[in-house]
Amino acid sequence: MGTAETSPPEGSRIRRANLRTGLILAAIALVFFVGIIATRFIGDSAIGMSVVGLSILLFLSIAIGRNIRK
Amino acid sequence: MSSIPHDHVAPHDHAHDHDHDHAHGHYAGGIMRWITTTNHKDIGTLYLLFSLLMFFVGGLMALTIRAELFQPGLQVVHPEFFNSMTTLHGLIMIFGAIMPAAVGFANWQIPMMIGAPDMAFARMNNWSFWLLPPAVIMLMVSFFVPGGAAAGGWTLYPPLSVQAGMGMDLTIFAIHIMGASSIMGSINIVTTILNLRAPGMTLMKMPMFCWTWLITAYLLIAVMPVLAGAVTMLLTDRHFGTSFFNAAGGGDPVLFQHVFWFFGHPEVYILILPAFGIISQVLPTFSRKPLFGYASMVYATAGIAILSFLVWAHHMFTVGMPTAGLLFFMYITMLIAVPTGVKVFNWLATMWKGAMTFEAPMLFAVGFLFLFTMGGFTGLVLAITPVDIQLHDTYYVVAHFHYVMVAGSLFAFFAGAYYWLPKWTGTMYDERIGKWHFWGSMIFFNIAFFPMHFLGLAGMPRRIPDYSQQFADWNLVSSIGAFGFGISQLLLVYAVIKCIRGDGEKASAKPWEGGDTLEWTLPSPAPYHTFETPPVVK
Repeated sequence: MGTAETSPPEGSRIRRANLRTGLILAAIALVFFVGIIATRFIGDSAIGMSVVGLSILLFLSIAIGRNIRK
Repeated sequence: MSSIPHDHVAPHDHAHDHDHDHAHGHYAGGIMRWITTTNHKDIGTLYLLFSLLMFFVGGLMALTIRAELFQPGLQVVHPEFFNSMTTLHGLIMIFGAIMPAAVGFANWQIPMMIGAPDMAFARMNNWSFWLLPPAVIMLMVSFFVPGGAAAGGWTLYPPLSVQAGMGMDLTIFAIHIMGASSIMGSINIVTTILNLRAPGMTLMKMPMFCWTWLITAYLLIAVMPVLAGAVTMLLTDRHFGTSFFNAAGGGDPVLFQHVFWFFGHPEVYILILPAFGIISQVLPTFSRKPLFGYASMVYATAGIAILSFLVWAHHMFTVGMPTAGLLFFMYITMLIAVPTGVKVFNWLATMWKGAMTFEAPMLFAVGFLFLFTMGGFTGLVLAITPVDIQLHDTYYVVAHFHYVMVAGSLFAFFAGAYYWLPKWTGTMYDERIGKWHFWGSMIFFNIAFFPMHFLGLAGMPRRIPDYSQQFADWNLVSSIGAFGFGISQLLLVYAVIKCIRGDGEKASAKPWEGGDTLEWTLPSPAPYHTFETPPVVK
């Protein structure tokens, strides 16, 4: 028929992959939430903001870069 | 390549979809269907209808503002209420109308465009939507609490926001809830695109709309927690004795501005990138040509996303910063014009020598192209530090961002709605109404917002209920335009209702000759369950 069949083991593999991706993304969101508050306690706001800012940029660059290669 | 010619898609048994609908498509009847649904099409519909409702709620607030500004003096509302109107208009349009509309399009289209059966986390998808109504109810209830609704502007700057009444607490909680909804929605979209694409659908074969949403979702995951962190600190300053932003306690109010705009500027691109995606689908379809420079469009979108994190302080040139900082933010802001220009020129090249027709989606797409580019140019003007210092907080800024947000995002969403309504409802929209809607919107939009450039250049400050006599004429013109624009939007509601009721010509599976993405291989209306067996893209 020209369609890709999805067998039960394949379904459970996809579900596991979905969960893994979702948890990674949720963890990143949590780190940024806590990070932006933590920057205030680092002492120098500029350093704190820079650390969080650079980590966000790194995340975006890696996330987008990895996908472009595929 | 963005387009997938139909002969490159292995045949898919749509009869199976229909059978499945009747045999296994169990869903609760009546209202419970909508409350408990996990189907991406149902949830897309909920998002789109919710955003339409919020568009009118926010629009009524805008008309209240314009009624007050119709002539100098105070005549319609109290100044405090006027300030609440400007604040809530901004919050509701951004978080209640534009963002949910974009998510609605994503819910409907992404699974169908990548050949997925549904979103990756269907139950979380339901939860993401149903968080929104309580959040908006909280915002609306804030009008009735002591002190009234938040009135310090949608940016919630301290010290006003630290000192405001209970309405600010409700606003902060509403933002938390809407932020959580956005993050869940984004996780869903990223996971769906990365893990559920049909075999053969590589990332560089994905329709541009999916690419723009993938990048938008990454942006949301990165910046919504930052906003949540900022308003959490605001909340603890208000009630738990902390001094993050309270100068009296050693805090720094300007830090809030930095953190807010670190979220706020990427947010602008969160609102516009899905619109870029829609335009990238509509223009090739009605030009009957593939999208020009697909790969460069993807890289430009990624470039815009990355640069959007480096320009936040251009919103704060007037708070004081070192000259090196002013220069850095000025030049980086101007740099964003490069990838944006790549997109604009690619759209023009797509249309070049195309066999174009001008149905309502194409009209809105061309309108978008013209007006968004104007909004982009005024953005470049504002990027120049000494000019911005003069124009900061004037109506020039109001004109600029309405050209980007209304003529940009909103016009693209109108284009998308007319483009996909036949697929969603199975009925062609009324072309005559669609065209009237376009011309009404186009003419009245410019009457409403173009004079604001003159007002801003003449020095009229924003967020004031009264103004000097010298600004009277253009304010009158602007208010007339605003009411005309508002009334024009009723035509959209009429067109949508007609489609939902099936009052019109029956839509074929592929009503647009130039449509070449996977959703056009499905019957119209799209069956309740689609691509349960993924198609193979060759």
